Amino acid sequence: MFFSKHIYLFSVLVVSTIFIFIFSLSIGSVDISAKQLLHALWVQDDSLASSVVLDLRLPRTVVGFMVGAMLALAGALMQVLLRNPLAEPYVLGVSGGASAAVLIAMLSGLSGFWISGSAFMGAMISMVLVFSLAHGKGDWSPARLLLTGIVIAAGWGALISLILSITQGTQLRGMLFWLMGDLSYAQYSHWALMALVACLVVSLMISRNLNILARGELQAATLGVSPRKIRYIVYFLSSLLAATAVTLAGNVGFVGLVVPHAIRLMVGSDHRILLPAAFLLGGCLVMLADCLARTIIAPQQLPVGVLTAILGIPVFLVLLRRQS
Amino acid sequence: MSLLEAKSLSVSIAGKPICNELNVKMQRGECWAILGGNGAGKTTLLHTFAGLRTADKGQINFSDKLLQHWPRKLLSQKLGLLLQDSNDIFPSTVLETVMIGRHPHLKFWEMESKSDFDIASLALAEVSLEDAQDRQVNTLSGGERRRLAIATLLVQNPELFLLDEPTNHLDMRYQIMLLEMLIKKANEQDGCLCMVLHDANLARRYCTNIMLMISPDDIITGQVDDVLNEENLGRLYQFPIKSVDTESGRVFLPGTL
Repeated sequence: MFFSKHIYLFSVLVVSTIFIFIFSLSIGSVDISAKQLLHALWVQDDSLASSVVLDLRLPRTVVGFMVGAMLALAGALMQVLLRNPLAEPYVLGVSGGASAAVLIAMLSGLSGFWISGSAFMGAMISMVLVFSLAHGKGDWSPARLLLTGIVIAAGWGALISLILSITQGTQLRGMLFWLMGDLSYAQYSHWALMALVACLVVSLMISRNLNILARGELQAATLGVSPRKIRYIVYFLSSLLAATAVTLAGNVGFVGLVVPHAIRLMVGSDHRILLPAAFLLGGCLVMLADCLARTIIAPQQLPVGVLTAILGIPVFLVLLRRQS
Repeated sequence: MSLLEAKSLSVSIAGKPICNELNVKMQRGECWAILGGNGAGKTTLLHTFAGLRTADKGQINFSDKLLQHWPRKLLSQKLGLLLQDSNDIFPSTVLETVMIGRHPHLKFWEMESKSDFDIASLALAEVSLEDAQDRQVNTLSGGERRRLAIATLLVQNPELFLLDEPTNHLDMRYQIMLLEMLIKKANEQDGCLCMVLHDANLARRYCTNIMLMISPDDIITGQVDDVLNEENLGRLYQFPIKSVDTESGRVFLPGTL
């Protein structure tokens, strides 16, 4: 009885996900027909179509979906954690820490694995830093956590600007692409997929608690939810998701802020619906944005982060208008 | 056996004492009013009774068991608190809001069943919000939100009702209707009701027992007729209070300085 009225939404989201996924595999500099695509996926020979699909497009599409799903999920969680509709996955400095670490790695001439390794390390350092500073001796109020996060993020921002201003030439372009969110060098990783699935499962398990926590800590406590425990879990989940997303694709903006709100405007704030729906919509948005990013002015590629915003803003504004 | 018992309880907030060595027993079937001036610590004391804050000294027993030994979730099936105000940041409908009261009664993987929705509909009808189920909470008036919060507490269905200014924002009709309804619900459960009030007349009309928070060391508790008089209320509010006997009982009025 509970999910029946949302079946329509979920069917649309699942069908869109499948459709965009297939679309993303078939478009690009080499045209691949539906028949070739099926052939490539099932037979896996060493034809051109097969290697283009399996080696280039499939990992990139999967990573695109994962990044979008992670950011949307992290955004929805972060908004409950901070009880602030303006919260997004990067607000507590996770991406700032990752970016600063990546730029330092790039400046030192590192590449490949070291880039994603430093991104993850930087994100984790920032996460621990914000957590312990916000915790202090006193209580861990959302306002205090938010302010601590913003200040730390500003610190990372200054460090990033510093690095950019002393970097020259071709290195600068790589850095800027990374900062804007870029899937062109994205590596598929089983670890990231496992993190995504684990975070989705845990957040669904506590989703009814999130409904209560969103209404304030006192209200939560009177209804038998331990606010502190749930907040720790949510902080950990959202930070891990944001850190993994940043590690995979850099700073893909906008998805984490707007996808949760778009779902809220459509179906309300029940997190049992909101979280899985945001997961799918976030994935769709980034996959679609990436299709455009690599085809609009092909062979040149655009940073996917720019396209998520260009695609998402009008849709969101239409939803917002319809609501009022 | 008392439902809630405070033994030599001392509570303070931000270094300011609220009560020292308070002893009070609330029995099933009783209805308590906590009266006190602004900043006397009525809400703080009520939150301490609800287990949301820890006391500096002393202990609180709920159903003869130390409050802090109750598992949070089990406690919330038996003890409900109406907060002074609610603030909803995210969009939500009236039905979604009232359903959160079922949370303590559901296992963590459980979905709300038909019977939970029936309980919610009944509670909304009790506060005359049955036609507002699908409305967004942020479109409700102050009084309607208050009624929604009361409905949420009904859905929670506790034995001890702690109410922080339940009549806030309510017009006279709803003040009377809802207080009478809450007392009826508490009695049906053989439970107890304890509310912070600013209206001594409502306290006199509906409560069996009164707590007057005059100062941290001077907290008067007792039967309504022994405690509620001009002299005590005058000391409580540091303002002259007059009483007038009417055909519907005694009424307290503010005098002039």
